Amino acid sequence: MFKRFWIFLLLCSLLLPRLIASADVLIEPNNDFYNRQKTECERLDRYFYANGASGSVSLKTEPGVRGVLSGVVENGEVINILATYNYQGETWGVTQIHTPDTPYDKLPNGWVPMSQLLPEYDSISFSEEHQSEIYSYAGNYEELQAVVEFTIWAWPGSGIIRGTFLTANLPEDMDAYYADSPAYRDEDGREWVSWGYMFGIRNVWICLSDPANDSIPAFNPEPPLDFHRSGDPAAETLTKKLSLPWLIIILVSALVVITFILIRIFWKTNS
Amino acid sequence: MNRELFPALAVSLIMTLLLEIGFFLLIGKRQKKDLLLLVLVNILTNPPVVLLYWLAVLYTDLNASLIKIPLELFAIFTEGYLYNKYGQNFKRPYLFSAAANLFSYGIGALLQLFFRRYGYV
Repeated sequence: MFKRFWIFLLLCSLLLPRLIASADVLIEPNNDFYNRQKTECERLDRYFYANGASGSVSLKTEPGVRGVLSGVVENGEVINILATYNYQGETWGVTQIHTPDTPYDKLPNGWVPMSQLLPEYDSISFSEEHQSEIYSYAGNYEELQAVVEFTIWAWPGSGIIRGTFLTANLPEDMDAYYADSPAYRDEDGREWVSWGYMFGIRNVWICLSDPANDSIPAFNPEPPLDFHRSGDPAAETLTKKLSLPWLIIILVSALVVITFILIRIFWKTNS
Repeated sequence: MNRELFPALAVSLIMTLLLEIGFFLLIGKRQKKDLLLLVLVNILTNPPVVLLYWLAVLYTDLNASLIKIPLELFAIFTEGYLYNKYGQNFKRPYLFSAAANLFSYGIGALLQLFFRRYGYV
């Protein structure tokens, strides 16, 4: 009886961290360099578009030229940069690409220079762009508490709904909890407030003037981006205009042919 | 990407040559012409095999480990064929090719693991 009790207790203690951790999971890349240099890396967890000069970006197992290629991302594709590292004065970001049904330890991951990426327009981009218009919210949250459910947005006027939440789930002392949050008033007079973290979602905006409305027009949509294309005249050198590995394919083929000819010339065939 | 693949191909070829030459000498072979043949045969097979591997990894969804097997077999049989056809003193050319390739692959993998783990690469 006692033995079974202790075994049960042991199983519970093993499960407990997983139960706690499942509430808010901090995703870390399964990358050897990241694991070795974790203390030197800065967490980012932000989405970027690939924008390499040659039409794609190459992921490396670690920052710098000695890193081995671990993948290729075509321009325009979005990747999540989980952390950054300063390598010899250049900032590199690490990403882990999630593919369905792939175990965590098999997910492709790699490092890419941040200069080859364009940030996906998000709350941070909005805040940077409207820095002079953003102020510290000094009011209360009575309008929010008056509704049963409210909508959270990617940024004011984005048209992108990040979710809806029940007001009952908010902290009771929310006036103090969310005091001094960044706020913004749009051109139509609606007041918005930004919360840094909420139930696993980061950097969300709530329209305090109309919190339950999920049809606020997208008056501030994501601006269009101009990506580098393969063969783009802006590419630096002629070799980069070629579809990426053709030069190497041609050189290796030439090497094979020359070597084979040398063998044929200088070695006699055995009978 | 050319700038990144070039070093990968060069390092792979140099390491393969060093290890296979080492294996050649280790088993007591000393014929200079056979040694030179070994060098040329590896120049013939190693770069295309490594290039095909990277192209398959980067541009297809094929499992990297599954790609290596047929490529290594291709290298072994091609090298064995050339040793058999042009070698002066390869008594069992295919066996030599298999053993040399396994030796270079195994030692190379161990070295790579060691250097990565201890941050030298």
